[in-house]
This record gives sequence, C-alpha cells and structure tokens, in this order.
Amino acid sequence: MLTKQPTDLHATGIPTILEDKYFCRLLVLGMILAVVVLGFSLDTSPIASASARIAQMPLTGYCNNPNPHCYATRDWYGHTGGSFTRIQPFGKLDCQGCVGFVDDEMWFADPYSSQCTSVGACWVEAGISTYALNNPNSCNHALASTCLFWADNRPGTGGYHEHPMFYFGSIGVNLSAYLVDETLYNSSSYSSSGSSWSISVAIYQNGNLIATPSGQSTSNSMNVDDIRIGSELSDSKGYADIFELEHNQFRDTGTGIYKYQTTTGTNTSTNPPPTGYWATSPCNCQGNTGGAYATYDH
Amino acid sequence: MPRSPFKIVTVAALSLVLAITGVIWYSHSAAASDAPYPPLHAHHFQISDTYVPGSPAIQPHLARSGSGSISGPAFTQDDVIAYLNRYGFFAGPVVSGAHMKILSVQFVTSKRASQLMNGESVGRPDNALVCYVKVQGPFSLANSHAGSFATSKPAPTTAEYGDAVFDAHTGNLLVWGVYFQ
Repeated sequence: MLTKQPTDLHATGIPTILEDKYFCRLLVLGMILAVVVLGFSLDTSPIASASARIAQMPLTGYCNNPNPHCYATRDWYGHTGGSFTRIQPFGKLDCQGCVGFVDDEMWFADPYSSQCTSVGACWVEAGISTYALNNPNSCNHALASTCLFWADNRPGTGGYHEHPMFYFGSIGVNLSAYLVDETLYNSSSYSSSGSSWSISVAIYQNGNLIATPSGQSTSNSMNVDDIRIGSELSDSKGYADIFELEHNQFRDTGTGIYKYQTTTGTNTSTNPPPTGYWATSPCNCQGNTGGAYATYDH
Repeated sequence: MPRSPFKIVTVAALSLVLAITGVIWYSHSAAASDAPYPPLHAHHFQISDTYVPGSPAIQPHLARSGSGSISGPAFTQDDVIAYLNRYGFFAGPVVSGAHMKILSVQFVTSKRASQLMNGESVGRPDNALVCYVKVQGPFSLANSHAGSFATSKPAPTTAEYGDAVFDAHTGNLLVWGVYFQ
C-alpha cells in the first residue's frame, strides 16, 4: 500500500506543526501576501521600472547625422486639430560644456501644404530643454539651465521664433518630481486648418499644479498633418535620463474630443543618440492610454 | 500544542515577512499619495497665461517716476547694444569670419513689435512697452529647436537675419527669432 497515512508523516520526520491547520493557513496567506505586494511594488514603481530598463540598454555612440541636430522621434500623420502629451522625467537632462542642447518635446506640424514646404515645414513645438552656459537665451541668464520653451516656424516671411516659458533649475537638475502636460491646438476651432494655435502647459511638482505657462502662435497658416514626439540633440556632450512621453492623444476634427493614439506611429529618428523606444506601446485595445515613448541619451 | 524549535523559527520568519510586507505596503502607499497622477486636460488656456516673465537679460537701471510707476523704458538702447555685443545673438554664434550687425533698436508697443515680426506673438498685451531689436549675421542655429521634417527642402543650418523683443521695464527676453527669406 503506497498511500501515506497520518502516522507516516510523523514517521518521516515532518514537524507536527504542519498538522495545525490554522497555522498552515496563516503561513500560506502570509506568503501569498508577501509575493503579491512585493511584485506589485516592483512592477509599478516608476524609478524601479526605469532602473530596470537602464540596465538592459546598450550604450550608443555619438549621433552621426550630417545635420547637427539629431532626433529620437515618432510621428503620427493625419489631419488633426490638437495634440496632447504628458512628459514624465525619470531623472535629468544634462549638457555640460555644450554649445547646443538636449530636449524632450512635442511638435504639431504641417510639412505638406505649399506655403509650408517653401519654408521646409510649419509647426508649433513645446518642451523641456537644456541651455548652455554661453547661451544668452537661457531662462536663467549666465547660468546653464533647464527650461521650458515653445517655438513656431511660420510660412512666408514669418520665420522661426522661440519663447522662454519656465525655469526648472540649473542644467542637470533632477526633474523626477515633475510632470509636464502639453496641449497644442487650434485656438478658434476643432479644425486642422487655422492660423492661431494655443500652447497650453500645466506643470506639476509632486502632484501639485505649480504653473500654467502658455503661448499663442499667431499668423501661422497651417493645415496640421503631423504630431511628433521625442527628443532632439544638437551637441555631442548631451546626456539624458529616461523621459517618457505618455498619454499621447490627438483631437478629433469633428467633435473636438481628444482621443488616445492607438498605433506606434512612424519612426522618424536619426541614428542614436538620442535613443527612443516604446516603453508601453499604444494599441487598439481595451485599457489603451496612448502609450509611453521613452527617450534617453547615455 | 507541542512546541518545537522549527515551529519557533517558522513563526519568527513569518513575522519578519509580514513586517517587511507591511513596510513595503506602507511605503508604496505613502509614495503614491505624495505624487498622485493629476487628471489630464485639467488646465484650460487663458491669454493671461501667455504673459510669462521671460528670461532675465538686460539689467534695468533707469529711475522710476515720482509715483513709483514706470511709464518709459527702464534701460537704454545703448544697454541693448552692449548686451548683444557681450553675449551675442540668441540663435547661435555668427558663422566663421562674419560679424553681427545691430540694424535697429526700438522701444515700441507690443502690437507694433508683433507687426515687425510679421505677426509673431510677443506675450504681452497690445499696449505694453517693449524693446524690439533687429540684427544681421549670418548666424548658426545651434540654439534653435527647429524640427527636421521630411520635405524636398533641407532644414537650414544658418540664418541671415534675426530679431528679439525685451520687456521694456524688466529687461527680460520675451522672444527671439530668425528669418530664412
């Protein structure tokens, strides 16, 4: 007879405490609880998640794009009246000894209309950037800084203009406590066509709204056909921790409602650095929140 | 109930696991409450939000009027020229062999400055006093955040002309730009 009887347990030396059913239940419950909580904690901590990703990333060389500006970017093409992204930093942007900068931002562009192709493209953009020590445009003059800016490139003789918006701190300041919500949209209608565009920004620190700097791009006739998110680099000395561009949305031209992106868009990056990848891909599925596009420059 | 060394060790281990679990749970809850995720689209655009302070640039030094308010500019055209000669233009250095020319320095209303920039917004009410400056390079675009979009026309790397607007009272930079045509 191979079936073990209760007496066999004693005979094999297994402690008698396992016969205590209440103790066994408590032991199992405690172990399950520990596993669940530990797993939950490690999986959902942004810092832990970011650290895990850093460990898996290969180092990259300097950008070899002949154009001195390099990109880790994703584009969604199609006419739209607005766009939204949330920039979530997991560290710093740094550019010690740079002439140029490294940034994370969103563009809202018209690369195809005839009045825009004659100037390359028309767009509105906003983002967080480093400003070198020798850059008189720094939002904290004579100090290398990290700032929020917006800019536009307009058709005809409009040219390119840039506006300082907010001072985060010196170059390399840790931005992990911040969230920066950016909305770029037609100021007067839901249409993709217009000449006045609003740049609405909400800056949160530790979850608290601390500033709402904004801008308005005027005399900028565009038929917007391109939303771009990502990082731009114009110096070989740039360094950036992981920054995620999350909750990516476009504005429906019919209803004015913002909808989550459901595709990963088009990769328009140059060779790294900077490097970009989908930490969470947008999908046409339940629970989609527009994905999280991560960039870094190590 | 019989007591054995194994039982005591097991109870101690279980207590330790539960204590660690509790600490982690509490830490996670505390972190979450410290940095809650704010709702999306919580902020609505207002034109007054576009009147940002700008970046510190020219040091204002002219005295205020007797009432304490400033009606005229708090710095001079020479201050603007000295600032640009010292720090250069905002887009980037002039190309090798070139020298920056300051073409004009004007104290005008914000509305007029916008007209001089072919309709670019200044970030001030129409009647606000500002200082408009126009310069000639050519300038490199090291500090320009210009995008690179796939078109038949390659992105420019230099610009011949530039301009900038300072708040006439604070001396802060409000906007700078370059022109390619």
